[in-house]
Amino acid sequence: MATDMTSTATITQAPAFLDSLDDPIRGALALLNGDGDADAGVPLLQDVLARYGSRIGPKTMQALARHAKSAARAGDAAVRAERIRAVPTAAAQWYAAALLESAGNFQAAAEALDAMDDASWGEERALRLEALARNHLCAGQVTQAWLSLRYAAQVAQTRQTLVSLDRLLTQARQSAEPPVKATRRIAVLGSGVLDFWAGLLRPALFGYGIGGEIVTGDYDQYQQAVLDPASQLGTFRPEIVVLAVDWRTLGLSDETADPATTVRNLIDGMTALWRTCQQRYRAAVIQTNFEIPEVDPLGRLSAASPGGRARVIQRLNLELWDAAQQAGVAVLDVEQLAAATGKRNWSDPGMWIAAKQYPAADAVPPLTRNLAALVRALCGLTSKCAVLDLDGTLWGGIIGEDGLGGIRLGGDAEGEAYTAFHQYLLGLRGRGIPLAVCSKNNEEDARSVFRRHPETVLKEDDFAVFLANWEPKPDNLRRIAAMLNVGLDSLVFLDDNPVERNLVRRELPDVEVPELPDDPARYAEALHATYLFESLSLTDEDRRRADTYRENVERTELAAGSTNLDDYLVSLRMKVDLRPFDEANLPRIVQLINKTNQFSVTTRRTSASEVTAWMQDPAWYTQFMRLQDKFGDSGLTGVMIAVREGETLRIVNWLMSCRVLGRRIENLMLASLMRHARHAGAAAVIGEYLPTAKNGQTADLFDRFGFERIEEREDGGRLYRAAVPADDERVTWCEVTDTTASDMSAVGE
Amino acid sequence: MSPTDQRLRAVFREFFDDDSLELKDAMTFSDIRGWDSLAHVNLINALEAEFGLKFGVREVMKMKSVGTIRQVLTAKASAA
Repeated sequence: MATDMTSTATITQAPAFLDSLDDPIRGALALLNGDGDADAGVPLLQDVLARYGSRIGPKTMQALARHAKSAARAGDAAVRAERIRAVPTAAAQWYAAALLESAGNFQAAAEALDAMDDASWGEERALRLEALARNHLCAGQVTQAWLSLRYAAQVAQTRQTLVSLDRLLTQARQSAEPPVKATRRIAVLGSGVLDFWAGLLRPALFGYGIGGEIVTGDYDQYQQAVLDPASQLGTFRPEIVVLAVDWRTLGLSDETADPATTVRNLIDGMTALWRTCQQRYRAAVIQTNFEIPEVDPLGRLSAASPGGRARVIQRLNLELWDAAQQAGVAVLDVEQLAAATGKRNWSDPGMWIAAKQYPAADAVPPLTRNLAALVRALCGLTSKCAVLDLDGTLWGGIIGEDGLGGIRLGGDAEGEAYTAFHQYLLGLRGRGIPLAVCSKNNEEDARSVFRRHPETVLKEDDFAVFLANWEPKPDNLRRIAAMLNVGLDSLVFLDDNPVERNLVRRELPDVEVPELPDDPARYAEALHATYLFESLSLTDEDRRRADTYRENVERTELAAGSTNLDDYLVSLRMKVDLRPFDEANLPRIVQLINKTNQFSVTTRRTSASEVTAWMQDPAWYTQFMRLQDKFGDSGLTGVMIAVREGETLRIVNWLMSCRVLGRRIENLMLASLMRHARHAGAAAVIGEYLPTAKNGQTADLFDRFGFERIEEREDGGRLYRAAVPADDERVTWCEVTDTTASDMSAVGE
Repeated sequence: MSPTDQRLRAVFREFFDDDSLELKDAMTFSDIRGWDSLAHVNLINALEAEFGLKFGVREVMKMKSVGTIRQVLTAKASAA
């Protein structure tokens, strides 16, 4: 062990030069050297992970995992994992999980991975979920593993990750049947070496909850495979045949002499193959169209010359859409996928020549995902409805706080990103995807944007269902599904808040919940890249459908459900800190008191000097609330103020930011006040509700906590009274630190 | 062991799913279970992903053993 002090062992803090590196964490790992003395490096590692580890890319994650693996061999991995876990960054949690996994403590590794910040997007998320699935599997928890595998497959950005996921799927399948909505036997035939990618259709399909049994045809044997009755297709009996043919196979010269005839012959040849698949095997057919190669002797004029290769392929692709539509064949738009991926990434000339690999490794994730989406459409599983959060999703800011004039919608660049997203959604609606609202808001506030905001593209009538209330979102999603008369698995829920996304995933795993990036300008792209709305055709009926849904909803009765909130709250690992007001937090306290509208019983505004006076007066009780959970720190988001009046304690102000609602924090704040009242010898607590245009959600707050109404005024204001309970209710679903009561114990004496 | 060798070993271990695999320069297709021509292309893809580079056609032709793969990687790394 660490008796021999090496030079790196004496470094306990990150050396300054790391700051200048693109990836300081990997730099530090190189300094430590994977096979070196594991124990001595821990202080340096802790410092580096704390300093640079709040966001980590996929490469760094892999480097950390490997380092942990070799470090774990030195023993004591569990002890070191605990020390590293104390560092509150994503990189540290990831490293600790890898240590625990290498030490065989899969359960603890899974817990660490589950607690990791999930605000990341794309490959980082895929790697985390893959590791989570792997640890669940090793710990024998197959049920949890399936979910992580599915979510990982939805976001995997690299071929390597798909390969790992395919391996895990195979492993998991040995102990249980995968939970899938449909299974299809799929034959992938074509011109290149298909084994390079066709098997990875399995994880891609699983990302959509579909099982796949896949066979691949031999290199360039697709015509024989389809036409020869004795081929392997006869015994395999495919339900879907994928014809993946690349542009080289077309045999086009630089300039084709008779392009019209050439295109017609090519289409006829394909049509004949389709017919055989449909008639002999009763299989559905997916045909790829053709990439227009970037590199051509004619350069850009290849598209100008009547017989140029680019022009002929464009024409072929156009006619292919028509012929396929007529024959009931789905087209996989390889030309578009190649362009989106970048044609220089889509194919690798060296790998084509040396190994007949086409498309290249980088093409595999978009190719398999889009193909899987077409299989999903063939299974009739295309998503049917887009359900939208509002604040942060359809506009910047919070309507209930910022008001019509304060939210960002149109007007400036940020606002225009949101109106552009409105346009995209309006387009979805136009093609038959009904839109619904599911938002934590006062209904009037929420509707006012679509009624009166000058820049809004979406109008009230564009939504088939509009649920803006304070019930848990899973309940509202159930209602939306019932009102539209569709299954929960037909809903796509879009929300910028990762906490809400995860709540819905947890409660309603059937609902599709895509990740949304930080940048609203990329919302449409992110939604598009899920391919959840890929369908086989588009009819006039589709185009009218969104209206039909809306009309139906008006006749549908509401069905409310319930959700298991307790389990979710526990899983958030919340830490609530309740403290008396102090100088350092004064500006934020005053700001919160003066801007909170919704969860606010009296909405009394104040000033810094008034608050300072309360802080110094022993008759006043002050409490602020800070909330942290596994996703991060919500900061100072709650305030309670009360004043001693004889035998009673009167609540003057009680408010919370709407960011933290729905988590029962109000219970904790009130319990703390009651605790103080008891210590201070008060007999009762007086509550007061003063109605405003916006605080409707707190109208029955005191009733819910069992207060008795002692006065009701004409303006709707009420006074309440409750006796001080003899002791505290035990809180099991979060960690509470309360220092408010002790500070004031002298008051009642 | 150089960092490049460590990463190379890690790729081989992950690829062939064998955590005790130790590499020797003389190793070729017949020495590691599952290393066939199809796997070889996938292995090259994995190496490209790990080291963030693309191999040219001459390099691909040369990479037929652990030793030649190391040579190509080292040459690439020093050229970068």
